Amino acid sequence: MDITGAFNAVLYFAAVIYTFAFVLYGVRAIRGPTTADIILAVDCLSFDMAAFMVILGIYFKSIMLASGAIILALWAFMLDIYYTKYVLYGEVEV
Amino acid sequence: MISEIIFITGSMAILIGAIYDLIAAIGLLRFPDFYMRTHAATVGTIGGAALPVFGAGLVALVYHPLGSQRFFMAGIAFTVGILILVIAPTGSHSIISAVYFGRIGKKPKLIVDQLEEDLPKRSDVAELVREHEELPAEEEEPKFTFRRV
Repeated sequence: MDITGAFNAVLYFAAVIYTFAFVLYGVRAIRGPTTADIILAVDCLSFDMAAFMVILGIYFKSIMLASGAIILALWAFMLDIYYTKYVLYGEVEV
Repeated sequence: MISEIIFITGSMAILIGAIYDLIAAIGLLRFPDFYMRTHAATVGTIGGAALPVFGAGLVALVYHPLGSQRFFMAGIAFTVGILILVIAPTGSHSIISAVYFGRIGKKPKLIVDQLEEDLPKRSDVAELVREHEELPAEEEEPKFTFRRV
């Protein structure tokens, strides 16, 4: 079996499941009872989007698409830390 | 031979990670409580994001249509995987501590909460603050002042 065909089969199977998971995360991100639930769901969405962007970068043969995943992962971490500082200390300092 | 083994290992990691992700999404939607939802979310970040990224790095090492770019791609993938392994537990822990100590939302019914027993009570903290409070200045500035033109 060709390596490209095998990877395309893997990608199609993974893309369907990832899209379904994104929709479920989005439902929790929209109707979360508290702000912490929304932050948690957006956090999961960002990490999974970073993982999916690396796989898409292999499929589209572009490095620039994959290198955005580093920024996305760090952005999710920044969101957590800023929320914690805002709730516990009431201010966000740089 | 060795390249096929590496490719199959990476593909299996991607597929298992996708299934982990779906399970974590269902758990995040269905669990009744914030702390239980956090359990599902950590499954989703480590099993659903770090594992497929390492698998993608293994696939990119032996994926010949990329040409010589595949080493760059594998390096990016392993970097993202190690970043997620370090970052995701730290962020989840900080969010839980913010929710617990900031008293956000409704607390679930717990049988034993030993952290609550060890913490100082709110009335004691208020007394301490009142004892060490500085006296206000004697001369207060008037609230409304007219500027001299």
